[in-house]
Amino acid sequence: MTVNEGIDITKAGDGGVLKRIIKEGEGTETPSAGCMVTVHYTGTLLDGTKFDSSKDRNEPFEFQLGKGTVIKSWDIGVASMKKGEVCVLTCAPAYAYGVDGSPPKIPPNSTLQFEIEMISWQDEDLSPNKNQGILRRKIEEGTDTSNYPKDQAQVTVELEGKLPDGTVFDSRTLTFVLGEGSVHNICEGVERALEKFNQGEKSKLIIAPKYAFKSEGNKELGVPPNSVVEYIVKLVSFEKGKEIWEMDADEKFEQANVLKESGTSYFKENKLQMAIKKYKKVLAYIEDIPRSAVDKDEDKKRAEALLVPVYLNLSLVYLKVTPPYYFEAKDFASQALAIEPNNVKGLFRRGQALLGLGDAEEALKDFQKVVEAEPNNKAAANQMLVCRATIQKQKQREKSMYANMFDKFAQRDAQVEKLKAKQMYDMIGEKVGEWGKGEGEWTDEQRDRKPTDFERENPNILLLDKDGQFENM
Amino acid sequence: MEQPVDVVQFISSLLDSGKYKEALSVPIEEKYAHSFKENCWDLISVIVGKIQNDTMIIKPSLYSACEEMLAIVVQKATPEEALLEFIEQIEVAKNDAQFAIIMEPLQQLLLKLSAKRGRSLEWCLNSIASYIDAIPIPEHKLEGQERLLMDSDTNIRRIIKIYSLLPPFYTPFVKEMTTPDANVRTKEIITAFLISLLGKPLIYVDLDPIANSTSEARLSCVSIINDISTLLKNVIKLLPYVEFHHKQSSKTKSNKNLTNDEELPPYEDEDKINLTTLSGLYYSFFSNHFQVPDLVIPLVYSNEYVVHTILLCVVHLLSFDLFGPLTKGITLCKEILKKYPSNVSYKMLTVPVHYSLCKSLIHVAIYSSYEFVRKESVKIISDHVNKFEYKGRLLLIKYMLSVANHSGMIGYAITLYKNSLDEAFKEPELPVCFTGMELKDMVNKICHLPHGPESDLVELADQIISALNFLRYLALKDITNRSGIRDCFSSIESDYLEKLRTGLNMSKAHYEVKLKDIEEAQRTNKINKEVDVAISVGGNMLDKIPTENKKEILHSALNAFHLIECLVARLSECISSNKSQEM
Repeated sequence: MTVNEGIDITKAGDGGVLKRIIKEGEGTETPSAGCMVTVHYTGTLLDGTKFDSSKDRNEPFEFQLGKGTVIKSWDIGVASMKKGEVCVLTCAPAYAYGVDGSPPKIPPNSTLQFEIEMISWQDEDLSPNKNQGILRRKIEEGTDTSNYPKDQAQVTVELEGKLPDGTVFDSRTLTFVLGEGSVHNICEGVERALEKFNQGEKSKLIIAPKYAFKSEGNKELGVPPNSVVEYIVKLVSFEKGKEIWEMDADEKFEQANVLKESGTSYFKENKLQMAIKKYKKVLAYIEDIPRSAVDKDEDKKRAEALLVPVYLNLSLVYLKVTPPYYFEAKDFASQALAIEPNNVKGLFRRGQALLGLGDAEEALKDFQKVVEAEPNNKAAANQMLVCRATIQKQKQREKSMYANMFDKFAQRDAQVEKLKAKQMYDMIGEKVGEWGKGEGEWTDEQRDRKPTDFERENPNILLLDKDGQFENM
Repeated sequence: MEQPVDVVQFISSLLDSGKYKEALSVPIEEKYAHSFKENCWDLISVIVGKIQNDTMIIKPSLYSACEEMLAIVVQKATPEEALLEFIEQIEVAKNDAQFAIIMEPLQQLLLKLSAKRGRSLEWCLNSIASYIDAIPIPEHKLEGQERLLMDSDTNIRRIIKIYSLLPPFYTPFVKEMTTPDANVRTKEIITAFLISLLGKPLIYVDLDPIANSTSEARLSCVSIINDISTLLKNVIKLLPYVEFHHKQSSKTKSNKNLTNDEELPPYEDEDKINLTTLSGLYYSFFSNHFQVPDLVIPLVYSNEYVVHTILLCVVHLLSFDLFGPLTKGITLCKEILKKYPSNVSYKMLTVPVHYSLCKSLIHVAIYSSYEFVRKESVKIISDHVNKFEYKGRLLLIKYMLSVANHSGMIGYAITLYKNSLDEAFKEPELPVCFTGMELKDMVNKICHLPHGPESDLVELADQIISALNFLRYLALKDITNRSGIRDCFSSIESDYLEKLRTGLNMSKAHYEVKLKDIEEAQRTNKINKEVDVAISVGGNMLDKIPTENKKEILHSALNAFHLIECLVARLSECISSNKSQEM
């Protein structure tokens, strides 16, 4: 081992990656995460055995920086290199192939040395056809690097848009739904790029007109036609597409809150179906917390605090849709009331739903409770009047319906009797005997018939034996 | 002027009547020379049309005459025209002999045109690819040694034959590409073609060296591997395309139209490079079934990245029903998991491929029609789970419990849980994820009777037996209550064992009655008439079963009940002895 192995460049300062510069590079710029980097390298073990080199392939090595595609020491080391720089990285096993090594060439627990020459790099290209339409340069890394906002997810961003001459045309913090950015003057390029942002990430985007404001420009923002724009965007938070069972309670709450907010904003815009969808997602996230045995009491409280307004809102939304879904509205209101039995809004909405379902008496009870809790609630008082009127009407209708009830029943019974009598087997009817079809004889049909229960129990009365024949015949 | 002779007709009739020398001398004779040159186009199809699959054996001289004639055509004809006609002939080739005879002249033409080849090479390769694609895929449901029989299947023979024709054809073009000034796009096109050869139909052919290490299919595969290595230099370079095509396949088709106006890069052309062909590629390079050139796998990539991406291929291969892709998926998976470090943090599970792998393996283990594949995938499930440290294992096991709707598989998951717990007990401190609430939650999931006492105990037998075994293990092992299982005993007793006992009593009585019914019916109906007892397993009616088998089924069910009863009894004992330790 040489004395001068270089300086430690790990964040942890554990000496895992040591860097020694052999040839200084140009300028001050270094590649940021996401860039496509082109390098030449030769890797050796500590005993000097060469295990791999891009020069033997006669082709420089390209990879995307900062995505974990290469061993850790590379993601750290290469990010620190300037253009044209040549350096040696000494990488401890934890930053290379670890305890297991990479058989057959790299033995277990090996420290590796790489001589790396930085040839060039390109900013990360996020455009769909890799035509340099959307370039990203990271300024701050995000936190959770495995999650990206998906299409239709709600995102909150801080952004600043600049023209090539440095004029700032846009500077805002806003919340919008990915895919609906055009409503908020957010161009396609920013939306596409955001789908590749991590939470908390701050990056500079350089966007070609094709993905920005095209040949029309944007008058509202003051972007002239056909101009390249530059944005600095920070993704503050977003609605995660993570599967529910992958999340811990805190993540669930965070998500549920975001969803609830977006549901409410949909509701305010009168997009009721979308609002329902979002609210139902909230329920999917946290509905099982208050009931499960695993979760802590404080989580249960939090869940309930979130569930009540969502149930209430859902109930309200179902009352507002056309035609109103009273049944669902009643259900959700009841769920809210199950948690907070005296919630005025819940009582009021369930009352409305019940009234819609035609159950005015139950509705009246709910409204009454509202008035008890809030004696000045005029709406509830009005609704009570409506209920009473409805009950009155219903009574009227019932009255006319039940009038002469007994007469009607008697009449109906008589009719039923008649029908039954007709259906009964006519044992001594016209078919038997000399007046019957068989001229005094049994027809085959009559002979073969099964005896009725009555006949079987009282074989002597009509002189029929068990098989339905006359005993003496 | 002399009556113009129709050269095409003339040569055709000479060939038909066996006058091969005369036919071959036609182009040399001055009076025909001009007209021959004019009519090359038509001649090609006429000559090719004379070849049948058996021509080589029945009329070898006709075959060689045709070969020579085509060679002359290549020399005399306008190369561009002839090329188009040859490409056309590949598309319409009626048999493999016609396909074979076209290869050489086609190659000669392309080499001749080298500078102004334009896109003709691409078209040639496309035509060849579509010819290969049209070969039907055989499936014989053979396993073990029987697999060797596959080599005598006509379609397999065809595949092997055609694959053996290809390397001589494309080798010169691969060589051209090794020069430093080679056109990048052409290089990518040839590489894409070679990779497509590793997809269908080769992916259905058995390439396992254990079955037959010198099979011709393997030899073709080896030469393709070497050529790909020469062109690509670094095979891992294409891993981003696995991700790309993986995403593409899960997207809706409407998105694809967007890119129609622009020409796709060769690696994004779905006909050549797709998940199937890339899976074939990475199977060939990472399954350890083939010797791979030294330098093609650079040693700077992180193992996690390589494994995660290749697992996408495994998942894809496991989505097939046929033996070929399934075994390839299984082998690749086994090999690639060896690269994965052990004791991986549960945080790695944020990569969704782990769950899809687990799901695919479960599916294959339950439903595949090949015993070998089923058994192997069961093994891999546990290997995969055990790659993680405890918390990760638990996440995967919980996932298994939630997706597997098969009692045996759930039972297996419970056993995996038990084994991990056993391992964990050896640690000085029992990991938190095995204790307290986490344990309680797991016990609730394991001791689950979907319909309380009325659950179908026959269907759930495997799960119940594993669950009881697990609980007994814990009651015996954890005397000092390190896991906190003691707090669960009362709920296990009231929510699970009690219901189980009720269920057992009901089911036993029910099955005994049914058994009696059958026996009674047998006694009264000596003629062994079908007895009217229907058996339903997991909601599926099993009708038309001979009475004897019905009895067997009933007996085995009763046996299972007895076994469960014994286990329940023993468990109660263990629980009370465990509780008594508390004093």
